[in-house]
Amino acid sequence: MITKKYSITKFQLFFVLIQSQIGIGLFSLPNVVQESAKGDSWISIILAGAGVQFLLIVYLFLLKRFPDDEFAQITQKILGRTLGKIINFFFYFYFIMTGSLSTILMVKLINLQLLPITPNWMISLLILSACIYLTISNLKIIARFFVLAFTLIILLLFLTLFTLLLPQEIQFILPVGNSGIKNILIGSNSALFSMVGFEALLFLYSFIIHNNKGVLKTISLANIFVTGFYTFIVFICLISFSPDQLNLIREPLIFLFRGLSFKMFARVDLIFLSFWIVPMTTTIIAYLFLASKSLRNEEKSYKKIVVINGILIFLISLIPHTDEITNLFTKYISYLNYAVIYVIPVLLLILSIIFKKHETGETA
Amino acid sequence: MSFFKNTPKQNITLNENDKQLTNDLKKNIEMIHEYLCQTEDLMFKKMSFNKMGCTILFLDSMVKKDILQSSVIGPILEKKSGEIQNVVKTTELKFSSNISEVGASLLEGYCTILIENDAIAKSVVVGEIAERSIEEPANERNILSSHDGFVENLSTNILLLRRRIKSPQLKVKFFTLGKITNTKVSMVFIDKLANKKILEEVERRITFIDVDHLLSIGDIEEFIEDNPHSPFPQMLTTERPDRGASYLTEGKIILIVDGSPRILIVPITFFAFYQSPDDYNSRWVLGSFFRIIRFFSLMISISLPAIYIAIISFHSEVLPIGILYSVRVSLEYVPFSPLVEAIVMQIILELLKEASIRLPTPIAQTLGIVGGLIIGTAVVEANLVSNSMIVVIGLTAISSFVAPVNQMGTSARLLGFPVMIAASLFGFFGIVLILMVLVMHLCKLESFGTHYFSPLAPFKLEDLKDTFVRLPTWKLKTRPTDSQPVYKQQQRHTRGWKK
Repeated sequence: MITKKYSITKFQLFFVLIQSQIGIGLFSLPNVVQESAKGDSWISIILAGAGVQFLLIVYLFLLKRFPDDEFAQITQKILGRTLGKIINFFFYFYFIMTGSLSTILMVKLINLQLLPITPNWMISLLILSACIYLTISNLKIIARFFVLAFTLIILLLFLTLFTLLLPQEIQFILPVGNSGIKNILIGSNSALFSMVGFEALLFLYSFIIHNNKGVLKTISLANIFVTGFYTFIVFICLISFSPDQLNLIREPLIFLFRGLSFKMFARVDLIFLSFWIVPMTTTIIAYLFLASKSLRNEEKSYKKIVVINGILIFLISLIPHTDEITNLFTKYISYLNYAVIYVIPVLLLILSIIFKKHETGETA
Repeated sequence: MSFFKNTPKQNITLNENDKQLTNDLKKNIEMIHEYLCQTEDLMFKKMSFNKMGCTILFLDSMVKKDILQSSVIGPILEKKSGEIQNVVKTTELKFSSNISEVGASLLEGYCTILIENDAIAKSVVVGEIAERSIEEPANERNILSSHDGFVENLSTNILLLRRRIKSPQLKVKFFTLGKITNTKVSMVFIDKLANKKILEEVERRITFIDVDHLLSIGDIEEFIEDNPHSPFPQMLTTERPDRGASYLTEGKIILIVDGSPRILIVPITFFAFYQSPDDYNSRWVLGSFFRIIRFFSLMISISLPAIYIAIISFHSEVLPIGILYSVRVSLEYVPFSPLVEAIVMQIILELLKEASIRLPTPIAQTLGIVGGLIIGTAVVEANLVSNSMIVVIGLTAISSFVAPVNQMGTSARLLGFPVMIAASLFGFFGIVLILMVLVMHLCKLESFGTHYFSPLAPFKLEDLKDTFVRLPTWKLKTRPTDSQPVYKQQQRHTRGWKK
């Protein structure tokens, strides 16, 4: 077992996965899911969590065959050099695009809520500079930062408890199962897009110290946390707003906080949103890192590639932030998503089993 | 390593080609006088011993005459013959036949005895340097801990440490640095506890120091620290021996420079700057309470003015209507933007601090009254600065002086400026962004291969017991792992009497 220079512990993996998953998606999640699943949205989230768990196990089966290889090498080993490189490039494209989409959505949100007049490019420039500053170091340091940033998620959970003081109506989710299985499944499908980020495991696996055992436990815990967290948030939103209100509010969570007020702060939503900048940024950092790792490259050129990718994401984020364009963007990204999180890993696993390919060397 | 051991010799040979003493007394004296550039405080005392001519050389300024008389000149006059090492009364006697070695010992306060027909000089220590007595350091006062402090003399400082740690494992290593000043620098550590890799790294970096003069600890600090551009101090300087001793037992390394009352502790973590020996001498709840207050002060001194600026210029809706009204009223006639107000007030404060720091106490007090009370009131009455800004800046200033180590408090106050500017440009977003980058920077920072932001990054639950709070001493069974000590356990069943 070769320990790599920049390896992370399983403890850190837990937080890295959570931080790459939780981010901008949280705000729109209740709105998106309830479009089809209505009062049963929380069931959709749990089902989506189960789906993620299944996918994670598929990934693990694939990765266990190549414990020491980076994902970019695995694709080449299974598919051959040329095809592997094409797949790698596809992943690269996906990460850059998802990173850009996260940036665009984040800038849009900040523009809408915090800084209405500041130009978009300025905000995205600042965010991406911060991202590049951290990503340029190495995985170890990124993991350390992600662990620290987790405290803000705890803070949010704590703040959310206060919203229980607001008037609530349990009737909104009753009767359970009213929406029908089909609609719940459609809801799960859209919830899955808020949960993406777990595909980071594909690229992180070879960097985990002692990755031969215990990884399943860690990723399951991370998945349980994310699913539980999302379910809780969606549940709170469902019982606080009526279905008609939820249809109209794009970011229900922020509106929920707007209802809160204390002696010292009148607008808790602004304070919460300011804190939430950090978890949103960690998602972008994760994608920037993954994009820079997805093309097989030497350690030396890594820094250059991070800067180039950062600039690329910045340029893409300059497109006009009108609703039509971002919706279209989101739609195309979701197609890419299917390919990246379902199709390619499953295909790779099947191929590697058929052709009995695994790492050459001591690990059989 | 071999490179280093040669360095001091090289230094000297650069100045003077290495000459050997001869049998000729007169020539020897001339050579030594020449070596010391014909300096006029070199004294000669001609005597006779074993019926041969003998001369005692010493630097007038470096020796204590009483000792010279009683332990060297007196016995020689009395005995007149015998072996010189049996005649003189001393603890240290050096034999050398090398001009540069003789010269070096003269410069350290030795007197040198040269005898006719003898190519070996005998040097006897008769020096004594006038030194300050041990007193409590003025900038690190404590209420409950010991009241002694380091002084300028290197050996007294080592004595202060040895008196606290009477262990055969306490090891001292000497280096001589500075081509002109030949300053003695010592590295103190506990041999079987301090991490070998860190020791080697410290030594390696010291060997690279190649300067003409090295006068204080600050020079060394800048030469060997990891990231010279970081706003955070990466080495702890202290004047308190109890602090030094406690870090030694954590497996850290102490650097002492002769002539500097402050010592350097490496490697260090961010959180060490917010700990004080008093924490361990009060009850643990109290100690923890003070620590939390200190971290709170850090938050305030970095971000309070910025938050105020952001609220005033961007997000006034965050304040409830009552508070908003009173803040707005005080802002009504102020012509400046909040950022200008804040920076002007901060600068006034820094001016006051700089002006009073070097003045004698009575004048400093006057200055404080004129500056603080009169200017403070007048500035508000003249509508140059708002009342609420005075409150904010005052609170910030007090907070920045709470840090037990002055360097960190100043760093925090300084960091307040970029955060303020970001707040005035981008509101809350700017503040969060800058603070985020700061935390990223702290995660990146390393001190001699150890993590600066430990135990938060990388996160170590077991080390949190002595970070934000201080748990009861008997709970601190293991050492902090940030300096990677060789073994961790530091206590066993201290409360084993309790069944």
